[in-house]
Amino acid sequence: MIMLLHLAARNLWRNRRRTLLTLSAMVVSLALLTLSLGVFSGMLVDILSSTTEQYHGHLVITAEGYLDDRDMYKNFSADPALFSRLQQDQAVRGLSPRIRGFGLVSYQESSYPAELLGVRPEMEKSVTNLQTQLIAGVFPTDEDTEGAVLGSGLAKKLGVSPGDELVFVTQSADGSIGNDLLIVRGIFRTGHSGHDNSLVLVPQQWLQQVMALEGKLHEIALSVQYPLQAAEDAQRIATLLPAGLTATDWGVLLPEMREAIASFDVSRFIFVIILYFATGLGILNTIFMSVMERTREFGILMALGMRPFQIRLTVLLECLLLGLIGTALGLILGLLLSSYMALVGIDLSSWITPITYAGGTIQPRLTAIFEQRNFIDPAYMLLLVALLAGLLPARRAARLQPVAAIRED
Amino acid sequence: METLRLAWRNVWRNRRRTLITIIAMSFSLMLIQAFHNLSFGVYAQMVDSGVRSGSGHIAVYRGDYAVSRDDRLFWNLGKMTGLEDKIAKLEGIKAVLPRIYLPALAQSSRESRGILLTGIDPQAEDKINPLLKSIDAPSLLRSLDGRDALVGSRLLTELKLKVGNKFVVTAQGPEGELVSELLRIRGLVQSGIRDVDSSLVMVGRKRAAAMTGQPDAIHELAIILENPALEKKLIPVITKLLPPKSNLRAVSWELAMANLANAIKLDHASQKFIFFIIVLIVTIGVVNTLLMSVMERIREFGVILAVGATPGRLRATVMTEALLLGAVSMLFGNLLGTLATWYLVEIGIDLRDFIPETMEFGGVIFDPVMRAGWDVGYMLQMSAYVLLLSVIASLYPAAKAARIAPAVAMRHH
Repeated sequence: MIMLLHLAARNLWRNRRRTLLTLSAMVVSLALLTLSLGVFSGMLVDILSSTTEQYHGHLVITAEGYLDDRDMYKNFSADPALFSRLQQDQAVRGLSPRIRGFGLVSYQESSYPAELLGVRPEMEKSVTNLQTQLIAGVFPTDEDTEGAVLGSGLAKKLGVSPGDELVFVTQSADGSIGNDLLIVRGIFRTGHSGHDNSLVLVPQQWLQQVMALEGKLHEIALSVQYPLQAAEDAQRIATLLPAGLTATDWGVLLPEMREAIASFDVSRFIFVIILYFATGLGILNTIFMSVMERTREFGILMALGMRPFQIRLTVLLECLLLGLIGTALGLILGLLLSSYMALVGIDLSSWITPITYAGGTIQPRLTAIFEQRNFIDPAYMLLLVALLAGLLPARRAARLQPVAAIRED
Repeated sequence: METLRLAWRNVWRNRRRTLITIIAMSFSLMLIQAFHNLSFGVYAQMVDSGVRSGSGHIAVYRGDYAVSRDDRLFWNLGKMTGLEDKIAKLEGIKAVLPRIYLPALAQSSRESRGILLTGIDPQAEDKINPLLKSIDAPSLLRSLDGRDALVGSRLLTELKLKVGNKFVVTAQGPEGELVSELLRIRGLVQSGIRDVDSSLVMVGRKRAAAMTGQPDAIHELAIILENPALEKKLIPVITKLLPPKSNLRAVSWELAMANLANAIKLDHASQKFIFFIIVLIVTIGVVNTLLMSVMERIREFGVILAVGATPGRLRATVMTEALLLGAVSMLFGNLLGTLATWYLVEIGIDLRDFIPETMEFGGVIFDPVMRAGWDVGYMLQMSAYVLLLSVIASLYPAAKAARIAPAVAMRHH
């Protein structure tokens, strides 16, 4: 076996130029494949975080049925004991209790419909990252009793800037019309046109008063360690909840997002197959050539007593070696390219604007993220392709008739 | 001619190698053509569906409404004597749809939600707008100024209303005061796009315009063309019809629906990148094949040189061989690509087998049956590229062959 391996390595090196060209095809396909998969994954993570980390959270705890119609009466009481129980869960990174109201915000002569989220700013920061997307002003503090942050589109339509005073009018839970004043503290821009044009974050107590829902909440948004495993977390967290409350993960909240991610897995598979088909044909060609030109040599080896299966093994070992070297180099190059993309990335903002897709936003930038699967799957498949490409030539070499083979020139 | 015959014979001396190379090249050409044609067709479908529910192929706006969506930028269609008819009479125009968009608050007895009050011309819109296609005739709007409204399905649930119920919409009036209108729900719109389903309220355009104080106010004149290719030609023609001092502009859908245009651009770019990788790998394969065939004929080349052939002649032979490989692959690739495209055009890919719900991309619904379109220009371009590629791939092997020193080469095994 060691001898065969030795033989295979020497054979590969006998025609260095050919081996290098074949290797380069393998390296290029593997490296560019891992790079593009990394970029696509980066895009998906971007889309997912655009909506979960700018608005929904990865998981949301609500009264049963609230998510279907966002009925303001489907609320529950804020319970500090529940908060601390949730915080102790292994996966929970942050939680933000919220109350939601819909109504009109007005400034001087303009009025526009808006969605108000009553939050406790410090807690909200642990779930969403709107505080990092401010284009003017500051994010309110917990002590602020009337400070609001609103989306850039809404701010522009209203014509407000930080310091201006807004009026909010809504229907209250007691049937009356609630209204009160707000001071604009900051303006955020997320790229998601829905949020930028209608979302306003306000102090929780202030909104509870306006809506006549003192001490009540509509949801608790959670952020978790591993967003892609949020569904499992939701099941576990559901057991911590009192009756009447449910935990919903983003996959249920945003089915179109889940589909987008699932369909990415399918297209990743197709992409890998297509690319490796072309690479595989190249390898097949090389191995065939090297087998054909050694016909005589194989004949002599067989005449000296080498068994056909040993011949076959030698050829397959050549492929395996070629595959291993190609995979190793391809992975190194792929890692380098992906790290470059992850660290530097490509800014597309001069070419396109943010795009809404599957309920999220694609930011106009390309970056890569490292996901094990994006390296491991293509690497395994490349080895497999190399071996498959060797099967035919190996069979041919093993079937040679020594006498006829030796006579060939 | 002599060179050609020689090259043809050389190409087929190693039949297996030639076949594998040709398969790799023609298969890649087929893939690229078929994939491109599929996305070409799907983009066309999306643009078609997008412009019908959105801005039209060409939209007429006042000022920078296309970008700012500032709802104060409405304009009075009544004052533009016959503008609608003049545009509709141009050649290649399928429909002209006046629309008004007002952000407003919808209130039922229990809940209020922010909405986009969309005023349309039901007669013109019903046949064109894909949002209205699935609605039965009795549930459609009947007049320009009635109190009937079509409401997004999720909005209906959130407001706790049913078809037939009444509700109030409140928007900002001409002086900044709040104006309310009572509307009656006639039907519901279920598009599958979350944004639309949770915020659309559609009424006759005069009913919506009344809230601005001008019953003929509109924001958008969406112009649907018979053929999208006419867009570039028609924009200047329509611009000429617009009153000179009105600040009205005719803009292309790519500007008015930047989201869709960008989504397509991004998708197209990532596809190009994938094509690039495929082409790169095939090129390496072709170089490999040609180089091998040169290397194994070193001795033969030495003999040819010794009996008087010039290095240029050798180079020409090798390049001609590559060209022949490219030409044969091009023919097969086109044949396969045409067959694949034909299948994708006639049968298409039915996504309903894979996904249960409607497909949304770039804020637009598209047909669950993806169908290709014929982009013959691109197919020819790619064919030419295959030829070019094979010639480029032969440069190094050809140079190698031409540099052979006869005496050394003849001693080579």
